[in-house]
Amino acid sequence: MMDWIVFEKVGKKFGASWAIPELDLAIKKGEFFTLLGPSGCGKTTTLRLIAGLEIADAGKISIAGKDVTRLPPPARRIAMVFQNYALYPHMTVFENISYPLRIRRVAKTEVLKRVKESAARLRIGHLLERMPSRISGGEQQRVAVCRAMVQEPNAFLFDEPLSNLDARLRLEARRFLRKIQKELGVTAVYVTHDQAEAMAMSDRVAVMQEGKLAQVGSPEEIYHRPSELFVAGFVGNFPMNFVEGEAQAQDSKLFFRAGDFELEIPAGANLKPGEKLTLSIRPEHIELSQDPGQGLTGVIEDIEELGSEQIITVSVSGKTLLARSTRKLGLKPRDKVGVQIPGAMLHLFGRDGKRVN
Amino acid sequence: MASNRSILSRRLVAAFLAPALALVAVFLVFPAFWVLYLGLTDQALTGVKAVMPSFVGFRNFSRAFSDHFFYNALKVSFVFVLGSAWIGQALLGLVLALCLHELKSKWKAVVSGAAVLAWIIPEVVVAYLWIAFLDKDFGLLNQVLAAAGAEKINWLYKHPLLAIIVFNTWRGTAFSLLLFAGALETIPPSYIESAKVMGAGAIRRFFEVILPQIRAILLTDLILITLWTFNVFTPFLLTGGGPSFKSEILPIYIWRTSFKYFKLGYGSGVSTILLLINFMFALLYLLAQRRAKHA
Amino acid sequence: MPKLQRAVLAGFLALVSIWFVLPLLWLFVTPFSGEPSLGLKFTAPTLRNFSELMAAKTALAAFKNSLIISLGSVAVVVVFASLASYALSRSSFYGKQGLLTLLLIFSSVVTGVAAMVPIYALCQKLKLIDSFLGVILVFSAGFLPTAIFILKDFIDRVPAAYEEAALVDGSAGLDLYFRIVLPLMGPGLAVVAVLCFVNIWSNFLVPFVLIRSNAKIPISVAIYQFFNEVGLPRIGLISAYSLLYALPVLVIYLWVSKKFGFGFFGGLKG
Repeated sequence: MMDWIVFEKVGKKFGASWAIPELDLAIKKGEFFTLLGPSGCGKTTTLRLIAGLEIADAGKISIAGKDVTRLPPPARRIAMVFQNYALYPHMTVFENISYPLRIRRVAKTEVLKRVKESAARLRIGHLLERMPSRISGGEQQRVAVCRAMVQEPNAFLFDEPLSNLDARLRLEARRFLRKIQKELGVTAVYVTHDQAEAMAMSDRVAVMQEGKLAQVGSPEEIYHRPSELFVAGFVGNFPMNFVEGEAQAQDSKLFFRAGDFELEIPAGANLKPGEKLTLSIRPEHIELSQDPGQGLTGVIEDIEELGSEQIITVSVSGKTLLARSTRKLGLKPRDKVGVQIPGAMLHLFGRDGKRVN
Repeated sequence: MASNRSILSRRLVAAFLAPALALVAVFLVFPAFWVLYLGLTDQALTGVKAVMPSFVGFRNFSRAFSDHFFYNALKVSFVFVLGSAWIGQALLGLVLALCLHELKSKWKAVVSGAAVLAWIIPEVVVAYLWIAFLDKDFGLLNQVLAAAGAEKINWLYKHPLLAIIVFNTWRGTAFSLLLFAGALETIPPSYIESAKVMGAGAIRRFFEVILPQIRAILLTDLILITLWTFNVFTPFLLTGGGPSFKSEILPIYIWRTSFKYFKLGYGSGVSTILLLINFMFALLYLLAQRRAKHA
Repeated sequence: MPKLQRAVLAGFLALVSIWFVLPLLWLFVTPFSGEPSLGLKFTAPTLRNFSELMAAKTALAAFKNSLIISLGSVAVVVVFASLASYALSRSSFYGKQGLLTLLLIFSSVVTGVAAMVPIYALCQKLKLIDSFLGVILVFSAGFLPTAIFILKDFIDRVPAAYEEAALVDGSAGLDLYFRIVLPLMGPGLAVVAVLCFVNIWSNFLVPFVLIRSNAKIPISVAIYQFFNEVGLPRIGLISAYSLLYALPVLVIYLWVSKKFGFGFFGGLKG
């Protein structure tokens, strides 16, 4: 797949500080690419740089092979969907959807055809003569998407388009957006701070922090092989377990030690004894058994019964860990349990937060 | 909001309202109706007719309608309002507000600060600031023109109407500027940005995105400043209505006939006409407000 | 936005700012100039103009008169408006909304010279021409509707709970009003007082029409007379007088905008 939207050493500053110091990015044609991160990480700025609402202070931006760094938005042929949809209240749904086409002086017959087709596809054809204030939030969102669709753009840009919907609608809208994108095959760049959304919808995710890329990869990669401490903690529906300690050598093996807590580090890690480490394990990868002899010995502190699974707080050698279990173990608080932390599921991060195993 | 009758007895409510309503009734309401009556007499400020005025029916009105000074005042007022209120304050205020909205920089403080100063300084002072500014020999404007090699002009003498139009624009723009600036702030930025992304140029954006959003405020502003500009008296201090009545707006005409020539009856007739014009604008304002509320 | 467009807009704003500022310069320069003229001449900085001002008896008298008229009107407005707006806020009766609308209409329609004609005739009949009382009453009547609107809006937002509690405690009527209500209205009264003062302090037309004797004219008319007196106008004195005259208004505006932001001078310039 060819590189469709490319950032080469792009920098953007506001006032005297560089909000985005130096960004390199390559978004492929047809993919659903999400910019994910906490507020202030630069994801919206990056989106606006693609749109042309902000002009880069350094570097080069290309879209569809063309250098667009200094070009204004209309020359870039991208369509943007805003968080509040930006539907003009004084225009009907039809006039809203057709607006970008009317601006470009597309022939009336063509306008009618495109709008009708796209509206039918999104099942809003019956709303064309209504005013935006008279349709539901979900319908408004589809009108906004429709307006983007009729432009047949180089890419769709979405700026947190689901945050104004309630939880149930949001799930529906997620699936719908993803489906439409795949059907149309148009490149989509999506901004969100909701990691579950990013994981569910994207082909690839770029996790950002303080104007820099922490990691770019498929949801799979981001989840199972986070390259940074920050990414490990940010992605995932349940809080990640973190233990700080250091590497120590014993016999010819490396061990992770934090106070009384000790765990063997599997071979192949890029480590030297004495290095400070943060150990990380996802709650669902911790295996508990009623036999305290299996692995480390832990004590149950608390059990939250969610119905589909249990969230178990267990204290191991002075450290508190969170575990998830879908099996019924019949455990109670203060029970002694065996805690197994498989070496293959471990994430180890050095002092600089970068992955070492 | 409490409408609890047990807090104040009906008697107390009446007693509390009485002083204010009485004052307003005597000095605001009564004159509004009395002027109608006065306009039908030949009341004067001095002489016999001051003490024993007689009823003259519609003679004052017919005299006004055949008096070319009256028509002059009407015409001058009309041009004055068009130039100073509509083109001046409203248009300039709107353009400034749009520029400031786009630029969002330190200019906001400078421009609005200076405009506001012009607006709040007492009218007598502001009038003399402009008399000094426009002075034929020493005024700052002519000094600047002379430095640029142009001829000095006696503005208040040669172009009195233009002078008071520019003056009144300078004086009143701050109100429209601040009103429109506030209105522009209420437009969600995404409306304008999405129009930019879709390829709409500045002019298109103004007419198709911005204007529809501020239409109500625009109307309110125009009605208010038209009402105020029709009645403003400050140009009197600059030109006195001259030379040769070229800048005699309706208020100055009324002043001249009533207080300079003491023809109170006649002046009342013309005042009635002006008050009716005011009333019309006040009604328009109320209608516009009511329509905006139900929109 | 492209650099060129930004520059053009900035240039335009700069020009407009200059246009606003130029006439104002005279006010801040001339009072301190040793050679005061209608032009902008700042030579020989001096305070002589101010001392000349202090020696002018008419100027001082006018200052006193302005204070009397402004403060007197403020007093009347504050007292009458607070009573009326409280009553309007805490009561409901048929035609209340209509009354408020009528007040609004009258205060915006009956304005300017057109209003002064019948008002003059009225004052003549009531023997209020050339009297402070006449001017104060006329000013107060003109400002009352606005004051009532502002105060009523203010009181509407104050919950009636305090008054109801006081009622239970046995307070009623005027006692309730003075002990409980007035203190609650404090900030609103301050705003009304300030706005009323500024409006009346700056007004020229009403005293110009209603006051005949030189001993009673306020500053606005005094400056007018200084400028139109026989011979060359005493520019140094006039400029110093104008600056001191405008100063209270500037100070008050700065104070109000620091506290509330713009919004208050809006409907009141009429």
